[in-house]
Amino acid sequence: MSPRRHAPPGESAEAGAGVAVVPSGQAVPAGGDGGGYSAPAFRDGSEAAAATKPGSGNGGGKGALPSQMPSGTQRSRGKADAATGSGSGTVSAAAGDGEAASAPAGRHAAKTAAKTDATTVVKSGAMTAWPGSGAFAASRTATATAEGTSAGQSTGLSAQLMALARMIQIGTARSGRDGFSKKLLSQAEDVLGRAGERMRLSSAHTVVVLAGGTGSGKSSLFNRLAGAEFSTVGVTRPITRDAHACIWDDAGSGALLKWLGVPQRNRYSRASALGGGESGLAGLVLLDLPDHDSVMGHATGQVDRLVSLADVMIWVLDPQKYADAAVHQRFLIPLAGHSDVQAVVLNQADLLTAAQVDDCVGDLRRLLDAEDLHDVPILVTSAVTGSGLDELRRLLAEGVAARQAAAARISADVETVVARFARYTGETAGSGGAVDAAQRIPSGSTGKLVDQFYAAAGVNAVCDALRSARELRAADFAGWPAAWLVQRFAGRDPLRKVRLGLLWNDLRAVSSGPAGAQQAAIDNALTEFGDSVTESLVKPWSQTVRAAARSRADAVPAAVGEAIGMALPPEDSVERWWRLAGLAQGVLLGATAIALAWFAAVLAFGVLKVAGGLPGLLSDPLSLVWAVLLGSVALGLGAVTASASMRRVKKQALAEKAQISADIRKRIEDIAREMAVVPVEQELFEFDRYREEYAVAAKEASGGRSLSTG
Amino acid sequence: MKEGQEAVPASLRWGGADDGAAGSEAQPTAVRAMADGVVGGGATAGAGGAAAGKDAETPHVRVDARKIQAALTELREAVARVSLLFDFAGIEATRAERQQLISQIDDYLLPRLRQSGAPILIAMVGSTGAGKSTLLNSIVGSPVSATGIRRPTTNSPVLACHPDDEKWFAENVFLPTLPRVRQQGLAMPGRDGLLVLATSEGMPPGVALLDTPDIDSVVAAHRQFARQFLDASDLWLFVTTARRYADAVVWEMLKDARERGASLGIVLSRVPQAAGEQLSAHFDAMLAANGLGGAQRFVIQETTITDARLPVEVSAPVRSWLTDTAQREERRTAILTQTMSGVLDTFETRIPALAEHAQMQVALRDELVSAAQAAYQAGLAEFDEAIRNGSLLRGEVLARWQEFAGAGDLLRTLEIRKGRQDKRKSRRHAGAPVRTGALKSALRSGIEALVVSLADRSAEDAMERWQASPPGAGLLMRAQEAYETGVPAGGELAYSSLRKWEGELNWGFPGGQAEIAAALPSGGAQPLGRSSDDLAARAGRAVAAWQEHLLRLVQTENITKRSIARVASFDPEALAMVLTIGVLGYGASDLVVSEGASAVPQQLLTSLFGAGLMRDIGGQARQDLHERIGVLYSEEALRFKALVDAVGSLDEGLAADLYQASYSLESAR
Repeated sequence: MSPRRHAPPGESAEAGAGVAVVPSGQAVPAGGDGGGYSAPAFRDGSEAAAATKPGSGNGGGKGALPSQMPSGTQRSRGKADAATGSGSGTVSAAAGDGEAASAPAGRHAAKTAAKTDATTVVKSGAMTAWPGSGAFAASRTATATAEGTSAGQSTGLSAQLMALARMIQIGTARSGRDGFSKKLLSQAEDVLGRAGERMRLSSAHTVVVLAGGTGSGKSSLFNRLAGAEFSTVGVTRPITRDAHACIWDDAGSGALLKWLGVPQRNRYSRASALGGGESGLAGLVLLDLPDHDSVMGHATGQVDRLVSLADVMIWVLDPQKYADAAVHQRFLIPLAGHSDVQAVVLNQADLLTAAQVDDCVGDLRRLLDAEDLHDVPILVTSAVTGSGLDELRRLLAEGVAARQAAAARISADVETVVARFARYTGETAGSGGAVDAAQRIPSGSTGKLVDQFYAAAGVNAVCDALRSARELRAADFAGWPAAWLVQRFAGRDPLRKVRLGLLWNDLRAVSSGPAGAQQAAIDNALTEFGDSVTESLVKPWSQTVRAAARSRADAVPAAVGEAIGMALPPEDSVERWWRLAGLAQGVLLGATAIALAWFAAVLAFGVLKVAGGLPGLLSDPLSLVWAVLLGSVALGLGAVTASASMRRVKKQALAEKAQISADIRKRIEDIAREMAVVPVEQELFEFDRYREEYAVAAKEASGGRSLSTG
Repeated sequence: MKEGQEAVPASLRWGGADDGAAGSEAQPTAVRAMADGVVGGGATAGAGGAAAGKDAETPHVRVDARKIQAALTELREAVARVSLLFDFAGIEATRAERQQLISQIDDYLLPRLRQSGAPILIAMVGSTGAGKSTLLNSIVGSPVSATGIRRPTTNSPVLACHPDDEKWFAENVFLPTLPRVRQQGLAMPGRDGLLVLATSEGMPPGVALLDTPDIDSVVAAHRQFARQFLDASDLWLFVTTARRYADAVVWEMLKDARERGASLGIVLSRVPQAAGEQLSAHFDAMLAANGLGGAQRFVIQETTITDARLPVEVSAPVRSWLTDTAQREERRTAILTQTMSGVLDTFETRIPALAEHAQMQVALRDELVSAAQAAYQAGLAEFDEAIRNGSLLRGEVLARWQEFAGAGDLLRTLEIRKGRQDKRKSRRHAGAPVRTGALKSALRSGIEALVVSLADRSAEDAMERWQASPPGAGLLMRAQEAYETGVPAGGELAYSSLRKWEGELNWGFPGGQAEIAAALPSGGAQPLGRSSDDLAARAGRAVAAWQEHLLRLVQTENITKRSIARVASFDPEALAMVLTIGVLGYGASDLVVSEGASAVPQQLLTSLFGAGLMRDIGGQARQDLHERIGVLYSEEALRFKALVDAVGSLDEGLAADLYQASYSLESAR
């Protein structure tokens, strides 16, 4: 029965390969050892496994109970590992493969095994928490025994993990000073990475760490539980410098231990014999950690690392050190969300009287409660007298048998880290459900944005200019030339006289055309728009939404200018009736000229008798009346048509202005939508997506216990 | 402990009086010495003939002690003036350091200098559960401090001394900031934070023992407490246990003691009987490795404790060492000298370090102000560029200009000079057309929008610059807090008391929240990242003033070319418009509207004003606008500076004062 350390590698290589042929479901008693401490070539076997197929592990370890088969029985030397199956535990794949199993095949098998393993983890429903034991928090574990009920929860965890991954993705794109904290993102990534690694590794094992200050008796406790003096115990401090591991039922634990980084020389195997009260511990990986508070220990990251990797943390305290800041502030308070997978052991109870123990436990309880660790059980033990050890063992057995601690730990990690993402969800208090992205844009602000774009482009002015241009142009055709002539000869128009005529053309070229828009005014409008949308948003999102609103600000003026240009009619377009009116006015002008000539002729021939023999029309003085009449009528008609035409031109120009400005407005609406509203909506959509992911990732927290401490 | 003991100047030796005199006899003289403000008890030196050798030095000692006291007072005043207003990496440590310097001077150095005859104060420090209280009870001989298994046990420090020594520890002399209660004999835990004064005949006279709270339990206040007491005591009695002696906290503390050269006694308690040898050997080795091999060390076995006391024989070595210390004058002198010069030695490096920080504060403040100013400078530069390159001639401005110019209004304002009498007449006819007004207001709002937009961007930029630097981010956070707290109602009294409280609480942070809150725009710190609300209105006014200026320029100066001015005159309003357009876009060749026609009628401008004049006037007008907008932006930047100023003022000569005080302390020693 005396425990024996592992044989050196050479010796045990054969034994290690013997694992494969254990029939499914059969519990093979440790040969002859009778439940005592046995040391099969666990170390080497598992190392071999680790070497050829990282991440395999005995999926459903239940069946494939490794034990120390006599080396003679091995058939598939070096292939033992590939034979592990999923839950069923059928172990036959390797049979007959012989030594020549090619490496790729082995790796493939390993991959498959790993995959199956992972699926098993997800599907078997073993992902929530420890079963309701008196000691460990039973808040949400009591029902998690039947596969049916737990299946939902397990998919819950994988959904949580996926949601967290997407949250990280969304957050990484928005990290920065005002954005998602890079530290938090990398922490979340660490959690995801750890979760992935742990889920790939043996789910049949539960990693329990004994952690605490120097001199609290971790190693003594460890030795007591392991039943042998594995970890050195002494009076001078500190003693333990490296982690030690003791494994109950070591099959498939190699990769796990390698992941944990426990050196081979510090690994011990404890055969899990049926009977002897230890069968319940099968699958337990117990780690004795170095201290975290001595001059040696506190600087190294080893304890932090192992505590972050462990499935279950047992904090070993003693009456002298139970209130040390070193353990409370560094570990217990940050791990407040992990109540389910933690326990506190008050060791060295033999130093106190029973009344003192009660006092001490009460004080410790008060301390833990103040740190929001209400659910963490306190056990009182003494490694010297052995009191309380059975209880501790029972606690461990319950945790190990359920095989849910790993998942519970991951879940607690996820919840803790997700809770810290809460500050980026914002306005959770007010809005009950998800608000549609479009609804977050206040109703009036889009209209206001369009108005401001419209003003920035000076559409009114453009239309006025257009109207003026049209009227001027129309006047060229339909204006009454007589009036113009009169004006010209009366010398009212100074241009020709000062020979500035060239300027006229210069100015005419300016008269109209796409005017673009004021960049500054556009910027101001977008800023205001962004502000109106982001009023209710929290920090990173208010920034990113604002940025989204302004993302295409530079392109807006040109786009608006183009839109206006498209809406404007060609500048020199001439309406047909202008020409008709011009023609009519020409005729009238002609008539006037004729009347004038007639008048002159009559005056010359009829009145002054310059020449004779002309028709009466020209010589009859009475014709003067007719000529005057004709001339006045033509002039009058011309003036009337001109003014009527100009009135019509004005009216038309006005109508045209209204139509064009409506057209431009529509185009600007499209631009505002495309360049400001849509980017904002996209960002708001991302925000909603993030909130949805958060709701999924934090589902556990809101459904069960509240994680308000995070 | 080290040869420093020899190196200490004679001026720092204490109680240089008679070796032969008993402690009790020495006290009255010391009292008198205190009254005289004299250190060293030299007044009674003549009483002890044995001290002839020291007598020769007495006058020297006296002068020096006074000098040191003066130098320390000066130094303390300078240290207290150090304001740590602006955050930087490690500001917490610096604040603590400043506070520690003050408390070392106030609580230890000055009292020691004034009353050299006071009992030696021994602080018992150590881990929780190390048995400090038990040891104290054992030395006193009666339970004066509560013991127990709860951790931490001692919440209130307990000071035990002989009844005759009690006067030394009255409120106005010793640790004046700490309220205290008195108790006789029995252990009665005081309220947290009170100093329990326990007098007992069991204490040897001339020495006082201070049982401090722990240094490593979850109660953070205890650590702070322990530090304060360590700073105030002459001798440290460090207590640790067999289970704890390798704790990192223990060694941090011991290293601290070593660095400041404090007199030190170390107790390793709760040593299991069986492993005593092994443990003490290991502990000694660790002490030696950390340079503490010379410290007095005691080992206390794990024994049964009766009546909260150790068996007499276990605590006897410690007790007799204490008695010895109290009664043997040369030991007493050595201890006092060592601890005090140890503290003063640390000042040699700590004061310059603090001075550097004081200097850095000034630099940080200037950096913050100039960061905000630089942001607005950049904004102003951008404004200049926008004014110059014609980018303003877009949108409404351009459309209005086109309308104005194209519709012939411009030309209609042109009047031909026909003669003197006609000029008057034509002026009357040329009223300002509607379109001139529209163009004018379009110009104004265009420039106004530009000013606001750039001010927004500058404010954002300034905010970003601040956020990127620790002092800026800290200041903004504090400002937001101050804003959320709000300016307290209740007028001047509440205001000033709040301010005082703030300053005391934050160690060198005199700026009250009220000032900060008052310096903020309505809405907190966030609106600082935008231009101020009335900027648009002010910009509008500035631009209107500028337009007026241009108009006056046109009216008063003959700026049109002589060849034109001879034959034609313009309406000044319209001419001013043309000039404005020219100023904004003249020479910007890239400004093309359509089909190669420039938005700016270059020909018109050159023919009206001439190229050279256009350049000159354009430059002048732009400069004028630049100055007007520059004023606006400086005002905007002032919002940031006001916040910086509201935090508190910094004394720029403080670093020099610190160096000076440090120097005079050095020369006084």
